Order: sequence, then structure tokens, then C-alpha cells
Amino acid sequence: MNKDIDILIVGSGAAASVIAAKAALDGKNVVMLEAGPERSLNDLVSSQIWARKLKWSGAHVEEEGNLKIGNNFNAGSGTGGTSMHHYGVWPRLHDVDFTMKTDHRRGLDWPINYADLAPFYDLIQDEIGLSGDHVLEKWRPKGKDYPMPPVPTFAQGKVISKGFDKFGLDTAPIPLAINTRPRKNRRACIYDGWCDAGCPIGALGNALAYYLPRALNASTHSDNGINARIIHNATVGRVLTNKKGDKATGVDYFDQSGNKTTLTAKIVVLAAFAVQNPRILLNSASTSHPNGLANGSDLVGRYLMTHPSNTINGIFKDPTTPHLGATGGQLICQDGYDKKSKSDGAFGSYQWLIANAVKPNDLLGMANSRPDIYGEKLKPFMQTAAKHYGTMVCVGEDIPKAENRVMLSQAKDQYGLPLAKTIHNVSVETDRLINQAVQQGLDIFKAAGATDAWAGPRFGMHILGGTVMGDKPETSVTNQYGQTHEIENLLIAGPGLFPSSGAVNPTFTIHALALKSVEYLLSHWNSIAK
Amino acid sequence: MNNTISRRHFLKASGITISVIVANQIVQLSPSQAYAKEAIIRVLSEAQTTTLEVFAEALVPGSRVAGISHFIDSQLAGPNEDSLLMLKYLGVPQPHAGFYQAILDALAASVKTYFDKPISELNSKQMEVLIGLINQDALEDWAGPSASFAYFVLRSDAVDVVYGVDQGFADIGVPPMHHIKPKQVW
Ligand SMILES: Cc1cc2nc3c(=O)[nH]c(=O)nc-3n(C[C@H](O)[C@H](O)[C@H](O)COP(=O)(O)OP(=O)(O)OC[C@H]3O[C@@H](n4cnc5c(N)ncnc54)[C@H](O)[C@@H]3O)c2cc1C
Ligand code: SF4
Repeated sequence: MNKDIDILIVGSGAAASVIAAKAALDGKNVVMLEAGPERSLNDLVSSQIWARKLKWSGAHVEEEGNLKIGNNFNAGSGTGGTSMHHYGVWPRLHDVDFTMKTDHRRGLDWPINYADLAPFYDLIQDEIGLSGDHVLEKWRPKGKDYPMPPVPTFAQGKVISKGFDKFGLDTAPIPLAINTRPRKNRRACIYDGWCDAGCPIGALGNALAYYLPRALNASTHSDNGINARIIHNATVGRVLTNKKGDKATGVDYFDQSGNKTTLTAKIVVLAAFAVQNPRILLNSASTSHPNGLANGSDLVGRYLMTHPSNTINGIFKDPTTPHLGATGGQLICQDGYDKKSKSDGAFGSYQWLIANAVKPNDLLGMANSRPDIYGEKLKPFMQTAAKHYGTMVCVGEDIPKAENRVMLSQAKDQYGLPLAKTIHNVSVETDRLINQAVQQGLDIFKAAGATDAWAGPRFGMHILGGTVMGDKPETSVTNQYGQTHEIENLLIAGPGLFPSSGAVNPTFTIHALALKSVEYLLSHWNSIAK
Repeated sequence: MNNTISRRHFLKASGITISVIVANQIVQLSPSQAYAKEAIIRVLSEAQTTTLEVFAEALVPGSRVAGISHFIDSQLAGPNEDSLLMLKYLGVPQPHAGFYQAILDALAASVKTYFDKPISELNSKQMEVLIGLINQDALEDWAGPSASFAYFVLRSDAVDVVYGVDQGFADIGVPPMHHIKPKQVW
């Protein structure tokens, strides 16, 4: 069985699903090793309590810094990975996000520019299906029109947008990987706001709604008639190489009982998200790679990023029906993008995701927006909030810094492998950026008629960096296709590749990059898989 | 309408259940039945359970009868990877039994120091003072994870059992609109 594997992918989430589907449809024998349990769309129960099953339940991640990356909130496990409970907010990166170092002497440049990625955004958009309004979304870089009309604006969006209007700021329907009409055998959204618990009707373009079924159903000419499969509850500990250390030969993984199995493959792709990918590389140290694989320049784990974010909350005079819509929001404003250098020493872009659908409980629920309210006052607050609450979130840009990183801890997991330890601090410039955005958000809410407006705590949204791509081995871990500079047949996929974070949600870009990588891999198969 | 009665009635009628141990047998009961039948609490001690129920009820009225102690205890008794506790993503390593035991013991000890009586005997004014001190991390002898974090976690858990279920949605006028309705509340 082992010798037949063409591509062994660690993980079955967003990035893995694209690579698996394209490779399997090309006739490659693909195996995905997934640390979490098997799940289907039918397992996505609409409850914020049960939604926690989807969250990361692998090895603990130790975290330090003034803005922790929040791994256990920001990561998931099981079939489809984090993508299963992601909200489908899919804006594109902007031109300026690719040239941060050149333009601003901070962070890193990408080895590609927006124009290189645009065709892949377009292809993914066409396949998965995006809804939006490319005209009203005036900030959107060049690209094909959205294949579906935007999500409707419900009362919450209408109420909050009045505040933006008063400050001369523009809003547009939020770009979503959510069907607004039935498409490609997937149903249209019914705006019930259960995205955080996973969309079981397939309206939201998570891995199980689109690419994983295409991978698992691909059947061309491999021996058993099926080209791709997922082995669940399989935690990869190490990537193995030949003696010389210039070729990946496979991986070791552990099953639930702790039994270790070795699988060999022609190509190994690490798609285990931004913390576990570096952990696996560092844990794969050998005599030929004493500091870990692909780590000759001591860059594995470095440039770890998260989007510094803040919610703004309010109670409005007008009814808002905050339970309606998609969890990701109804509207977007990117007027704070592109002009990265701001007043008062702030730096970076930011965007507003406006009018998120909310539920009563959980971290981002109505009750926890005001943790100071308790006792007899809580129910009246909840009753008011249920009808008049509004919220939006600012997503800020992080500045990539080498000292923000994933390292190995002294502590070990159940298989005896060192845990990941992360350190992430935001700079003063970033802090100022978010402070300014928060003040703007509060002003907008008041202008929109909020009788009470308050900011939530700052938190890290999304995890990026740690295995950054670039032109040179001295400054990056992989090339623009995700191939590690040191080992040609070892690839990385996912947001870990991003040399800078931009201020947009990353999963559209993750898909576009994964598509770019797999197309390159398949078209250079004979030389890479030799 | 009396909310406690309506919640009990609803949970009974809705057939929503949890797995608990009563008389040495694992049975499916509604949370309020589990509470009423005094189903066995497996991980927390009797004193910790009392502290939890009294404190949670003060934070989120209705949480005691909605089954806060059975909710937390059943999650602590199960496998880590199946936990439905929000603590799972607040950066505290599993297993979580030690965390809950530590904060409940710290709470009981602080009540004893400050008020010289059990938590169940605090009047509403004293409870308010206690919550204020906890929120400001101002309890001098507090031992264990930070008091304000403990407040946040316990309040969130209590919100889960009261407002994270259909009856709680109904109480505040939010239609649940489930795609797939949970077979058990937790
Ligand atoms: C609540 C929430 C909302 C979000 N909303 C949005 C949004 O609206 N828009 C957006 O762009 N992004 C959003 N995201 C982020 C998005 O989900 C992630 O960026 C994306 O899923 C990352 O893709 P990935 O393929 O790198 O990792 P994942 O999708 O997480 O897949 C990685 C997989 O690898 C597995 N794995 C890890 N370690 C191992 C190992 N050692 N062995 C085997 N398998 C392993 C994991 O179990 C997991 O299944 C959201 C995230 C969260 C948590
Ligand atoms: S709001 Fe739409 S995308 Fe989200 S869970 Fe409901 S149907 Fe699915």
C-alpha cells in the first residue's frame, strides 16, 4: 500500500482539500492524514455548545505575548479542519499587501504580486462560488465579477451602515463564500446565522462542501478505483527523509492508541495549519537536519502573525434582528485599507466586518459582550439585546516580525513529542492602529443611533506565517509554490506561507495559493516526484 | 409565568436529555430531572458542587435548575477531546477538572475569610460585594487561576445552560432556527 502513495497530505482542511482534489482528479493517489475525527456535514449540529466539538483538540499549544494567537479558538480539527466552522468571509488581498517591505521598510515582501495570484482567485471563485457586489466593493482589486449576487442586508446592517454614511465612509455587501442561490448542487443560504457551528446544508464553501468530496470521489486509474482517502485520528509527528536529507520519503503518524505507523510517499505536503506545520518540521530534526527540516536559515516558526481585532458592540433604538444573516457579517468597509501609514504613529491597514449574526451564548455571543452584567439585570439585557443589539469587528494588519514565532516547548504530548510554544507581541504602531479603529467604531455606532456602545477586548483573529515563502533560502522557508528550499518534494500549504498578513481574512488566499502550488506540482511532476 | 416551572416543563416535554448516573446506572435525563433526582456528580465534590450552584445562580438566575453542575461535571468526567466547555478555547490546558476544583475551592475559602459563613448563606448584598471583589481581582487570599477569569468562565458556563438551549432562546425571543437540532442539550 505504501509504495503507491503519490501525495501524502498532512491535514484535511482548507489548503489540503484543494491540493487533494486537483491531484486526485489528475489521477494521483492521495492520502490525507487527519489528526481529528471523521465528520460529515450531517454532524454539524446547530448549537453554540456543540460547535465546540469542531475546535482544536490536539496537543496543547503554549502561548505567550501581548497578543496571544488564541490557537484553540482559531484552529479546528477533524475532517475539513478549521474550514468547517469558518465564516466564509472571503475578501482578496490588495496589491499593496505584497510589497510591505519595499514600500514601508517593515516586515517582508511576497515573492509574487497580486497579478500573479489574481487568476487563481478567479478560478477558485468560479468553482466554490462567491457572493458579493464588485461595483460597490470599490476597494476590491481587479478580478472577475462575483458569480452570485450579494447577501441581503438585514435590519442590523441597515442600522449600522447609517453611522458609516454619517462619516462619509462607504460600505458594501460583504464578499462571502456562501451561496445566495442554489449552485453546483449546493443549496442557498437561509441566513439563520449558524455558520460558527458549521453549515450542514452546504451553502458555505467549507472543505466538505466542495473540494473534499471532489477529492474523495475522484476515480480515474489508480488500482483500487479511488484516488484519495483520509485516514482519521492520525497525528503526524515527523516527516522522514533519505539519509542525505535532500528528499522527503514519508511521515510517521500515531493512531488514537498511540501506535506509530510509517507511510512513504513521493511527495509530502504539510497542510496542518500555521502552528502545527512548523512544529512538525522542528520535530523532524535528524542528523542531516539537526535544527529541523527546512530550517537551515533558522526561519521555521518565525514571522508568526495574527490579525489584531476588536469587536464594537451596541444597543440601538431601532430593531436590529441580530440573529439574522451570516455569522461573518452583512457589510464590509475597507476605507481604512491601503494607506498603511496613519496619524499618531499608527501603522497598517484595517477593515470592518459589519453586522455579524449573533447567538445568545458563547465567546462572541450577546451575553459575553457584556460580561459585567449578572444576576437579575442579565435577562432584561438579553431580552433587549435579542432585538436591538448590533456588532461589528475590525480586522487589523499585523507587522511580520522574526521574533514572533513557533518554537518547541520542553513539555511533550502523549506521543512524547515536544509541544508547540508560541510567542506573539504586537508593536506599538499596531496597537495604535487598533486603538484608532476602535474609537472610529464607537463613533460610528453612536452616529448610527446606538444608545449604548462599547468595545470588546482585543483578540487575535486567524493565524498566519511561521513558514513564510520568499525568493531566497536565506530569507524564507519555501519558494512561491510552497516547496521548501531545502527539500524539493516537501511542500507547505496554508496561511503559514504568508510573508505578511494584510488585513483581510485569509482563506480565499489560502485556496488560491494551494491551487497555484498544486498546478505547479502536477505540471512538474516528473522532476519533483522523481 | 414562572420561568423555573416553564423551563422544567419545556425540558421534560422536549425530550432533550443528558447522560447521568442515577442508582449506579447511566440514564438519559433532562438536565432539570438530573438536578431534581440528584444524579451523581462524578468529579466535583459535594462542597464544590454547592459553591458552583450558588455562585452560578447568582450570576445567571436559572442556571442551577438548568443543570449547571451536571453540565460541568459531565464534561469533566468525559474524554478531553469530547469536552463542550468553552474553557477548551480559552488557553487552559486539559484536563480541566483541576481548574474547576481550584477556582471553586478558592471561592469557598474566600467566602469563609471575608464573610465567615458558607456561600449558600450569603445574602444578596454580600453576594454583590463578593462578585465585585472577584471582578477586580481584589480578594487578598485568592489562590488559583485569576478570580476575574474564574468569574468569566463560570458566568459563560451558566449562560450556556440557560441561554444556549432552546428554552433560553425562547425566553428572550430569539428563534433557534436549527438546521440540525441537538439530540442532547450537551
Ligand atoms: C471561528 C472561525 C471563523 C473563521 N472565519 C473565517 C472567515 O470568515 N474567512 C476566512 O478567510 N478565514 C476564516 N477563518 C480562518 C480559516 O478557518 C483558516 O485560516 C483556514 O481554515 C486554515 O486553513 P488550513 O488548511 O491551513 O488549516 P485547517 O483548515 O485548520 O486544516 C488543518 C488540518 O490539519 C490537521 N492537523 C493539524 N496537525 C496535524 C497533525 N500533526 N497530523 C495530522 N493532521 C493535523 C488539523 O486537525 C486540521 O484538520 C476562521 C477561523 C475560525 C476559527
Ligand atoms: S447562515 Fe447560511 S451559510 Fe451560515 S449556517 Fe446558515 S445557511 Fe449556512
